[in-house]
Amino acid sequence: MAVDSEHLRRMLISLLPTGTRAAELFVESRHALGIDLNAETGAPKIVRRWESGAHLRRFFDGRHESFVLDAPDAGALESLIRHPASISAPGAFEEASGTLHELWSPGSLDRALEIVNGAVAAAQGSPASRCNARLEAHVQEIVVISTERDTARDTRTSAELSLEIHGDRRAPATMRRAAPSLAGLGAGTRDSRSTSDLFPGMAATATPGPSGEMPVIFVSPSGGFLLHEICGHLLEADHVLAGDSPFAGARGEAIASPLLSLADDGSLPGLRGSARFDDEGIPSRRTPLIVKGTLVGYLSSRLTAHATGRISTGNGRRQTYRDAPMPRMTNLVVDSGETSFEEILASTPAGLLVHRLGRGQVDPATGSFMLAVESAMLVERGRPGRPVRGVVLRGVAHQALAAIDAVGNDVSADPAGAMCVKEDQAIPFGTRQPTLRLSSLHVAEAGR
Amino acid sequence: MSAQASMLLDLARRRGAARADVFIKSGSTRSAARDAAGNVVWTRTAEGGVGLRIFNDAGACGFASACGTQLPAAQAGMLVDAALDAARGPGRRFDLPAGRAPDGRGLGIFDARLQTATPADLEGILDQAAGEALRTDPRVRRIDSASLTASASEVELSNSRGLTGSYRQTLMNLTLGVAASDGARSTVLRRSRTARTLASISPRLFGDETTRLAALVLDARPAATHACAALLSPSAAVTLLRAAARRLLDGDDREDTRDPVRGGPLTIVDDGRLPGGIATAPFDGEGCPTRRTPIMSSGALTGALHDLESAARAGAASTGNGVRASFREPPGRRPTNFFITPGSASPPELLARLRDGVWIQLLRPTPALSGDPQRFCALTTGCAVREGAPAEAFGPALLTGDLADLLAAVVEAGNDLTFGFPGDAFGAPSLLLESVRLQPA
Repeated sequence: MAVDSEHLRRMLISLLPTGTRAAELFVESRHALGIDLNAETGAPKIVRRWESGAHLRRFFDGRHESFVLDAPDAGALESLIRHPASISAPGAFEEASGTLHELWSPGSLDRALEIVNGAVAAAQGSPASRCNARLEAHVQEIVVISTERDTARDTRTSAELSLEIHGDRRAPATMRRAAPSLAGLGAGTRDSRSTSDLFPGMAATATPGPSGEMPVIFVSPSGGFLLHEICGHLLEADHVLAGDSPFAGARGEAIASPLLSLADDGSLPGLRGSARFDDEGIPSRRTPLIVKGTLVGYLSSRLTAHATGRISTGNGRRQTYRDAPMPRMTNLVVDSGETSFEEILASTPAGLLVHRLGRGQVDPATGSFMLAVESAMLVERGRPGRPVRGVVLRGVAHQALAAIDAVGNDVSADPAGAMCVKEDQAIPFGTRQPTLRLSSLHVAEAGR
Repeated sequence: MSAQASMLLDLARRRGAARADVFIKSGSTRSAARDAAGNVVWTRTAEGGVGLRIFNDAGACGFASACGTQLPAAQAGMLVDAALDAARGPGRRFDLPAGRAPDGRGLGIFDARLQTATPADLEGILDQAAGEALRTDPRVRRIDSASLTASASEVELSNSRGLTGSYRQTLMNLTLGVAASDGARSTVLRRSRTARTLASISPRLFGDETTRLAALVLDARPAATHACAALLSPSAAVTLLRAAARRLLDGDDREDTRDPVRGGPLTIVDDGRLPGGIATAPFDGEGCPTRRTPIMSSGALTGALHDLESAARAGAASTGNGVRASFREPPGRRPTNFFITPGSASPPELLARLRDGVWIQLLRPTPALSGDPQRFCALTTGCAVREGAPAEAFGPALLTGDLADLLAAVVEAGNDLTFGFPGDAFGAPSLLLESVRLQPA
């Protein structure tokens, strides 16, 4: 992306209107490739998108202004800084900056189709009635120019494959793989595991799940999604500032089991939420949130940090240049415990062993949450029992955090991560954590 | 036809495309927003881009899009090559429409006042909504968030058979979040409403309704498990319709999967020409004229929605439902203004007919809980109804049931058809159901 950042930064500083505290220009160029394949029709739907735009923010006391411009060329970027209130039409698209990324080449599409077809072939012969595969890959180049700090440049790449299997009158089961590139998804390789292995809930032996209060073990790293929902969102500073979080004003208080130490870390290599900088140009870092059960920090962006007189934790993230950044989790990491998975399992007479969680939701105001379980087995006399399907987990955040009574020594990362949606902005996040056991959680039959 | 569209279509033809269409959208958006701390955010956006769909000789389709409406020749060539390369796999041949597409006059989708609204105008409307919300109930202590967005855009569609068409449109969205507390309990309730024109939304009424709903949530107490008759508010009825839509619209070539919905007085239509409708347009994203399509009549399925591809598969004609979400996406078969037609009874008359039961005013789907695409599962808040009058508030309670059974349980629709809820152009009036099952959440 050909952006003369030093020239634009000088303009940004010299043209600051009276009363402006700071200004920031976010410029993005993104090439994307999407493939949807329905196994029944065999016809792939292939979409290529080339997005480019800029987002200027000017900060005053008690007010800030945002100006968003599609397809800015060099002249349009200068005009955006000089006369932002006059923008009325998209830019002319800078020919010199229009470097076509390799992701748009025919060869990339061949590789992507090979991956998608391989995934669908792996699902053949399953008890499924329908199967869809979806691949999304993108290359995002960003430049963040600020009046307050050095310019940040980053190139972020991502490729994600998801396979959705529909059974008879059941919610679809999904499998996802993610990597920084198409090659990382394993072009040309087929998953040798059977569909029943990939989707235990679809197995012929899977039975409706139990219901009631019981111990629940989250096999490493599956519990990351639970903690993302009940900790990640509730520790975002915008929720905390608005009084929307049950953890507002609880810094220094015990909010979880003393076995739990948890942080956000966008600087870890290879996880879905990792980046050199956040979308406000702040270097990624590790931010401790809970230490031995005590709340020690919140996740902040530039605006929420200013409101609290603190510095940003580098969690200002946005989906695209069209959106405003908000405090969002990057990668959730949990410190290792001292107990092996085998010891945790053996010391659980009965309960639920969760391998994969599905969709979930949390009410920020109360901390009430619900999570669908995609893959789980019963625990019977300290051993894995039969696979179950169609169960959900319900609870309240602070009770669930306090109920953690075992933390494993088997820390592992989930390379696929997951997508998180907040105010219609979907961004990826990662998790790295050991096996966790909650002494009691409400398990219910889905849809009843 | 614009020079940009003409250049792209010409390039596509010369590089081997059998057919192609070009969708260009450009416009501007202004918004004013206020956060919990009272900070004001003004946003101005100039947006636009091109979506190019190309078919090869075998009928396979590829799509590519780019931001900007004045692509230089080199970038236009890249876009054509990318779309051509993406036309892979088996395809189905069908004709694109030709001639002059209808314009948008008389459809009520453009409001000049919205196009020229200033940030101060928008803030003034926000102040009216927020002020009324604070006046309605003293337990609403502060405005958690408020925003108003006004956008104006122009759409142009051209294809290789010479079709050209264009129209301009406006859209506004008002969102209000209120924080209410009675000392012991607190809640934050956010609502949003979308419309084509400024006159379609009363900010004061919206503020008043938002506070009344927040007060209901504050007053609500858990409900015991029970089955009873229910009246669904329009927003709750839309939530039910939205859950049912996928089953109702998964039609044409999958007749076996469409829910047999029996009984009930429900009539459901899709109407792409509904005056002032949020999804109203003179033609769809493929250039086909929009129209009114009955989906269900008195509880029986009567029709299906088609874009050009599904129509070719089913041996039918397009119903003008090849909808584009933006220039970034190819057209796909989707509903436009999709709604349950109103009856003649007012909400007070329906309450009187309900006599004893519940009046459900908030319904929040919980897909995580459903586990089965044919089951409906939602968190609900409302009030009990005794002898036709609203009584104590309840909630949150879990409403579950088979989707087809819930639709079949409808006995009457009200006369208060309402649109503008977040996410789509679905609409519904109040619905009287003979029985629903509630349990503690």
